Amino acid sequence: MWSSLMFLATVAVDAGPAAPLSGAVAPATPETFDLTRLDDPGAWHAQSRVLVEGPDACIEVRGQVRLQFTLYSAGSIWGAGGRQDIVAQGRFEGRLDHGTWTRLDTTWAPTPAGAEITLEVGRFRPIVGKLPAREDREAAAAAFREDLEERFSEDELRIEEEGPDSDDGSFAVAKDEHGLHLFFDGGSNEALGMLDEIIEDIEPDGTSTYVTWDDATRVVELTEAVPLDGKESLSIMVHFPEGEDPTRLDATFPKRLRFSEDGMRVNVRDAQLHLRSKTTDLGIVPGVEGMSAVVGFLGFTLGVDQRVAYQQVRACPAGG
Amino acid sequence: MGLRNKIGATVPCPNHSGARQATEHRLSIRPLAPVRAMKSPTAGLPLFVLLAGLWALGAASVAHANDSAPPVDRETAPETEAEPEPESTPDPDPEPDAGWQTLGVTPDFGSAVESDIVDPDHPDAIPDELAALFAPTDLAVPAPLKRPKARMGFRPWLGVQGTVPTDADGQWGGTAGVRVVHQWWTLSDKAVRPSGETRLHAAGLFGGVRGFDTSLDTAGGTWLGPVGVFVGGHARADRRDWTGGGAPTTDLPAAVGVGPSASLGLKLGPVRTLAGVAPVWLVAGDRSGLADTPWDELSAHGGVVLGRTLSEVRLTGGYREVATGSLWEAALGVHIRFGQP
Repeated sequence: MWSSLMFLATVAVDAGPAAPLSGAVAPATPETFDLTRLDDPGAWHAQSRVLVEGPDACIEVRGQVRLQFTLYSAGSIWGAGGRQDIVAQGRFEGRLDHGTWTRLDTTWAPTPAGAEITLEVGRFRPIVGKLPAREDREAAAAAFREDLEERFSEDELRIEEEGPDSDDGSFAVAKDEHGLHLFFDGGSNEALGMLDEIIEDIEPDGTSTYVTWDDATRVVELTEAVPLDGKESLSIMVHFPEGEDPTRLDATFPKRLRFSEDGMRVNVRDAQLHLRSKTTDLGIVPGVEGMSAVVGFLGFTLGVDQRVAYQQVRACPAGG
Repeated sequence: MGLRNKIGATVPCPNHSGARQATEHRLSIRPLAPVRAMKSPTAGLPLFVLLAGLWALGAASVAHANDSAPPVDRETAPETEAEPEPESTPDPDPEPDAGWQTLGVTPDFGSAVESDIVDPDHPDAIPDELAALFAPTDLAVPAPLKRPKARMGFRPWLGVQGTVPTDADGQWGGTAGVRVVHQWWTLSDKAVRPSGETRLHAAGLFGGVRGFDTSLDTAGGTWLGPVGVFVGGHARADRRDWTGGGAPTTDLPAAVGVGPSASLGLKLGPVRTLAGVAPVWLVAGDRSGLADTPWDELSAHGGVVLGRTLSEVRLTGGYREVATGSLWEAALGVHIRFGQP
């Protein structure tokens, strides 16, 4: 198993300027990966950025998105317990221009028959690319309000809006004869990618990376550890099949993570982000991504799951 | 130093601008900043926005208190082939379908959240319209099966209680104390769903009936569809004094009783009921038991719960036959929680 051997090799490299051990231990052959390439984890890390930033090109994508919020209820002798899913599902079309979404339009599916609670989100947040800040938040909030006021009566609608300096956007709830409808608009308006934003919130002094080669699967595996506290860390793992383009990223938080936000204790379980990409003539483009967690706060337990499938891609049309 | 001395490289995060430097550096050994906050991966929605939403959800629920909230019909999953295409999508391309290439990347990862999309017994039976988003369960990254299925609770307790003596007028008073509750359950869609509860109750009695009341109850069983069957044990230590037209007397001396218990639950839409019985044998204290029964005392308990989207109202009560008469108690509770589907 080369992975453990290469781990030791990189330890030796890190320990000082001595010559890499890899050449002496495993001479390169046509069938063997050039282990000296593992000597520079920083280069692999830089190469992995294309997964979350998108290709260095302008592409247009089409695909599917599905959001699920799960409300868990406790069981006991007073009830069996269970969960209730609130689902938003739709198709999207967008333009990812050198790592920034300049357009991301989503058409949510109409209310499913029989569904009691439905959800619409103004802007979902992909893992790939940066969603730019809105230039005119007040206009966005006004448009949000106007759209809902056209669809619901005053008695049916309740809108919660944050101030223009807030990153939180707007939220509304409406109830009519078809059931309960939740509407989110905005979300964070920071011009950061999702993964970078999470790491920024963690505020680590530094992150650690190491690279291994698995001879069995013929994959270079880059592992980045982002320390969360003195004991645990966020683990970001990137695969480079045959040591070529990265195609897979898995970010896994500790099984249980506790922190306080605004004085409220928050418990996050099984938080995870996954991204699968594909090499095309347009570069390394996103293929499918997912992120999920179970969040506990104030005695409530809420599950969240977002999945995005990039099904079609093309170069941005000239002049578009 | 652990991992820090074994790693091959470190990446500084000076300002987290989103494009971190990939240059190699030694890892800083400065104390790490505490975890200040972490965005939950909820489609980028800040947690407090979710909270606001949930509170608004509850408010809307209260505002429509006459409406029931049945669960989402999972068999009528949202349509994925939504039409028409986005009306707001400006498309300057005169040939909008030109140049597209299909990627066909299949997911191979799970989720922290169950979706009911993948049937564990038929992992390949993913609906076609969701195949691009969900993976069969036996693929590379299995879904974790950690789901909330037990919790501890600490609750203040305030109720009313009284007595109906065999030889005097009835008296009543209040009861105040705390309850520590541990609940467990099975989160599945199967017909048999084991669950249970252990409860430690300690309260003082005041008013026309004074004393103390402590009890430990545990019950386990299963829900069989809308019916729950539970058996367990019951232990109680209490003492009660009441005034029967003169000075207070100790009419129910301190004693400890133990015995089995059995309960039956029933779910009728948003309303759930529970009723049970617990014969008790006195094992300590100077108290006489019932004369003509196999047990020294007999307790009956019950309650009714009205569930809402974000809360539930619970009316509970108990009735107990003792040698000097009968005792009763009642409490009305409001619990803030997600309603049960």
